[in-house]
Amino acid sequence: MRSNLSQDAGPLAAAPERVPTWEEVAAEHGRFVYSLAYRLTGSAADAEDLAQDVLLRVRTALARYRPGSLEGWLLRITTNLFYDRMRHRARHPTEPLDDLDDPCEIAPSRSPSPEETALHGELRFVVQEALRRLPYQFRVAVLLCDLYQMSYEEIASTMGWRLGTVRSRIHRGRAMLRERLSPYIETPEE
Amino acid sequence: MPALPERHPAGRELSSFLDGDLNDRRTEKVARHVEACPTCARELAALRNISAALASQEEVEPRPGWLSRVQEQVAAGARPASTQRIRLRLRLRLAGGIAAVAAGLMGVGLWLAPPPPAPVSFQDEVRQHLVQMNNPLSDQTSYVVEARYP
Repeated sequence: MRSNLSQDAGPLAAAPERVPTWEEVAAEHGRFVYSLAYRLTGSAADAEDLAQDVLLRVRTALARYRPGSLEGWLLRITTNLFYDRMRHRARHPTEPLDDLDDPCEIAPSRSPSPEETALHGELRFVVQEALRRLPYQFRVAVLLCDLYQMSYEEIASTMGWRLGTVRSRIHRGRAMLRERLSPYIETPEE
Repeated sequence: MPALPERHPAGRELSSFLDGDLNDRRTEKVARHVEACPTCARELAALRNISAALASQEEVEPRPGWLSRVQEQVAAGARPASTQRIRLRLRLRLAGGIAAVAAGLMGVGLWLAPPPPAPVSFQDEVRQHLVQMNNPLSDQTSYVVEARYP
């Protein structure tokens, strides 16, 4: 599912002069938005909510869209909307948190044992679970870098972070994931 | 054991090295260090594994019917939830602002209500004092005061 976000890509790249209609965006990139929203939020219900909100926003924002990387543009809208919501939640802790963990919580909680995972043969599930338990700032950083293959500069510009912040969030995010995933991911001895 | 080219790079630098974010000079130094240092080589391999595990995550499919529900809502003229929230927040903020301005005006009114005591100049005070003392200089207070307190 790798998409090169910094270049024209996807079916719409063939006609770069034309701004796509909302119907086209929803039909051809709705899944992309949903998948990203799922990685960010960690639950189907929250992902549906976030992705729907993104698609509704896209309807009015399309007027301002300049043909280029449509998925890069959608990614920017989705991650920023998610980030703002999480920041808002963190600032207003009296509001009920739904199934997402407190963003500041790093303490390990129950995750499937290696035996359980081997039983289900689902490393992907464990990775997703570890990702979901990362504080949201680090989750955004590692997702954009490792799953969406964005450069540090692209992440800095997408999120409005300084480069130093991007560097440290990516590294700390990976280090936290490593702690959780070490029983599942073998590190070759060298 | 051969001496290491230099001290261990910070973990953050290993991540940057992995992502090609270091300048050529640092890249070369870190590469040379990692070659000679098993600890850093293990560290780098672990980071690479984590990165690869994330990269291999596949696209997640929405539950059936989700997209068509969104399309129906758009056809029905739905607005993004967050826009609604922002509008409500703006409206509340506006109402709060109006209330604050009203309260401020009331406060100013109360403050203005009792006429403020007329400022009494130092000269007047001295003159009054001299008059009370029946001092002949009382009509020359300006001169007296200015001479003493220029």
